[in-house]
Amino acid sequence: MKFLKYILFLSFFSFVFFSCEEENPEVDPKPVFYDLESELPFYFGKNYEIPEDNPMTVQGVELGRMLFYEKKLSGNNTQACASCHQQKNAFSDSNRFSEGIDGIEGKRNSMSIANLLWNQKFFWDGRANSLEEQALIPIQDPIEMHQSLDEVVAKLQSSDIYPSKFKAAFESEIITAENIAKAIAQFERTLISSNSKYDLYLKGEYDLTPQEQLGLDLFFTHPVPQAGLRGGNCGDCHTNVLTSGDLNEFDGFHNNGLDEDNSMQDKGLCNVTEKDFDQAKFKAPTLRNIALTAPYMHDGRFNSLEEVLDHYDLHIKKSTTLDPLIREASNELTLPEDPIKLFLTNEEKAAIKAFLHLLTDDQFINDPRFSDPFK
Amino acid sequence: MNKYISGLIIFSVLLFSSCEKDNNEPGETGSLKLIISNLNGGVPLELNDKEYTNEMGNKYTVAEFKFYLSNLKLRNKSNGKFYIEPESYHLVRRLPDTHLFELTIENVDIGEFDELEFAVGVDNSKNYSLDNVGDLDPTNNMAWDWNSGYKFLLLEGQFLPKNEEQKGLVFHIGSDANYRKILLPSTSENIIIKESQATTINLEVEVSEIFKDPTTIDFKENNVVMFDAISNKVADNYAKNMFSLSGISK
Repeated sequence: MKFLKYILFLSFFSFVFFSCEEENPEVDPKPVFYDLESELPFYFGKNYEIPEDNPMTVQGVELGRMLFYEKKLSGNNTQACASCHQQKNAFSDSNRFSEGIDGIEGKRNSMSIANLLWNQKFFWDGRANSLEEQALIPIQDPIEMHQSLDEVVAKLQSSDIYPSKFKAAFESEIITAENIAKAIAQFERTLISSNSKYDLYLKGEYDLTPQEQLGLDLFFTHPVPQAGLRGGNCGDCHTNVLTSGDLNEFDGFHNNGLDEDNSMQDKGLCNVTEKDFDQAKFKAPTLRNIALTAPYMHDGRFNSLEEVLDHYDLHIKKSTTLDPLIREASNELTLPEDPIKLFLTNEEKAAIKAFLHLLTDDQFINDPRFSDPFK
Repeated sequence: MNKYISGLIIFSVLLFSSCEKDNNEPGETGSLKLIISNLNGGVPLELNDKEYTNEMGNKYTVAEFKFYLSNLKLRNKSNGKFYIEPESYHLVRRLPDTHLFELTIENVDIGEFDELEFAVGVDNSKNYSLDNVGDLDPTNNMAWDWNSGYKFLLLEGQFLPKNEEQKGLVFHIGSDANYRKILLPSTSENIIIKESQATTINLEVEVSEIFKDPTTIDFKENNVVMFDAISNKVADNYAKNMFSLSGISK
């Protein structure tokens, strides 16, 4: 009798216990939760969102990595996402403009892919609202990978490896463009760069040299000459420790004084919003790994960090939509019609450059989790 | 045996209830919804497109406007009862699509209150800390850096002077000395928080008050205000008249 009671107790207990779980007996294993959050440094903050309809899974990330390096995504099987987003360049490339499969050059410089978790708008002109939306655009672009989504899906569906990989990640062997985008987005969300010397400094594990300290201070300071405060004015747009743009709507898009009103070649954000006040505004990208991502600007017009610093210091062009924080930045008191100059010293520019080099993350560009899985 | 069975029942009830979501006991609380209207000249503040004129006749546009509303309290001056919101740091902004910004505060003690208190800014205890409490997150683009704390109020746009080329309009107000408390007594109606109900307060934010009363700001002299002494006067301006209660409803 006592034994019976014990059994009764146990069976009741197990009934109650298992009723908590979802009923799903004897089907293929479910995708396993990928714990991205535990990899993120606390100082990056929590202003990010992983879409509810695309939760991170181990299998999804694995598939996404394969697709990122998969040349079948292009019309003639010669290019993958990774062709223009190479790990050694922090997932950008070293060309001013990249060539698509038909040998045609694009009009904008390939962007680095790092810490995109803290972004809501993608591309230089912000035309994609999510990584999922972004991922499918270059595939279809006639001057990039030049292939219809139907063709991509058909190619992957007929391959030996992909149907089972999609089944593992999304519980269906039927491949869809939506799931291709989701997998690539999942992989891209894992591309976290947080092991630079600057990160070590933030964690208290690295002491800045005096030059690096000066560079950091200048980077994050808007100059206020009447208060004796010298600044390089970088952090106004490349904000906080992520050194990336404001992530609220289009607040992270700026006209940074590259051209005058009548010489603007590329309307940038204005193409997307169709508002005149967005003329020639472009996304302020993260400066993480900036020393590895030359050339610079949306059109890759500058080849070196020195040229970039000289631009902001000496060559800002006035225009209607020029960012107010750039227009109103100088280390000397100026008169209204004066040209816009920061008046940085050579020593200060060298210090800012030294700080920018602290943002290089060797672990990121060598991380085997991010490399070509087919090699 | 009876004892055994009752033990079993209690045990299983415990297990069962653990399957459910945590039941938030309604208890003695309700919620408070602040509907914040960002205005300029009594009408909805518009971004970028609209030209405004300040007291000095300076023409300007606004591209961005946001501020920290923090340390919210409700008080009843007649009986001394009060409610303090814990970890109260809210970033209010003029959104791209609407001049209205909604803020809901849950678990507010029930009762009748006749004064709303909050601050514009971030108090000293959190201004230099790395705690991401409430909306205090460096990626909100309100942190200067860790040494200088947060911007309390930010207004950016363009100043369009007569017969001169346009200039930037940049007001970044921060630093401990510019932390301002705002007290708004309820006028016609008291703020009554009822159990499990939402009480709505309409709060108006009149942006033009940043630039006047008591100190009239001339953009020709001050189109960029950051760490200057005048930032103190700007904080006095907005603390005086920028906020008003325009209605309480249940």
